[in-house]
Amino acid sequence: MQTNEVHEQPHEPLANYLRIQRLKAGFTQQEVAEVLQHLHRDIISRHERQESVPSLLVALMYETFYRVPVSEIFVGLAKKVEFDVETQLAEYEKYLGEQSATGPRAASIARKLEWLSKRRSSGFK
Amino acid sequence: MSTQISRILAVEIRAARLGYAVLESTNRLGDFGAASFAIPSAARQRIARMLRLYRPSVLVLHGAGSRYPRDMRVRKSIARIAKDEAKKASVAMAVVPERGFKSFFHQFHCRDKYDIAATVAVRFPELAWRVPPPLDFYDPEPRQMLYFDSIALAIVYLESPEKANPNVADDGVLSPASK
Repeated sequence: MQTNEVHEQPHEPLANYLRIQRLKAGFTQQEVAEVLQHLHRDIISRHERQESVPSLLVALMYETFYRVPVSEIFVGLAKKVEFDVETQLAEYEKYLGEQSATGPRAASIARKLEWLSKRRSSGFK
Repeated sequence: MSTQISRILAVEIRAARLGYAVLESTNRLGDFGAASFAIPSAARQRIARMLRLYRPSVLVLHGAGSRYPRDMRVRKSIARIAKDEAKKASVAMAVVPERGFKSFFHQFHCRDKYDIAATVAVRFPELAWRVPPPLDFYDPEPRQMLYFDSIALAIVYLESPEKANPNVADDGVLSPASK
């Protein structure tokens, strides 16, 4: 079927998809808060509205609760983190490549460069 | 024609509330919900927040053309607010006329909103439990109907062969067909 087309670059994913996961499950924020006992309804609301980022413990709770990996619930956040880390790592690799050293320090740099190279070839960016 | 939609925010306007749905493709639902407000100007904050939160590529409106003069002024006022906020957020805006909306679901043999809700639920089975049963004419419309109206609007925009009207007049009149 013919469809409408928006001539724009694809948008970044939302920071998280917590709300739609909850709505699909048919739970209210209060009910989720009651099940995940460490959380208050207001905190869940803030997470869903992307006003705050949950702690690792709470993120893992969401993963277990919805049976969806953290990286899928927090797609936007995960992509941003990945981009930031990869950028920093590329810069660090460049920095290491420019170093001139001898002895143990040279071996350490060589090891890191080797690991980074393996990391790239094993599917990581 | 290929589908290059990134994210659309469909807003179904009522006199004292609005329904919204976020679709990232024809089968990926990002969010949906409804908001109530006592006065039309209170809708501004809500619409602005949605635009900020979802960062849509298009804001799709429907429901600003009412058959009832009592509601028309309020609905058009909300449409104007939505237009203002979309402009501020540099978000493109489109309008699905009533005729286009009805003719799209006519192909699925939908006679009323309840049929449309059932059709939407076929596409998104996780929402099937929310489909309201048909009510008598004197019963108030259930809140969840607004969810389905909004999702249906988004689907119509994404899949309709007719381009939705991207122009909205300054007075908030959305489309001659929607009057």
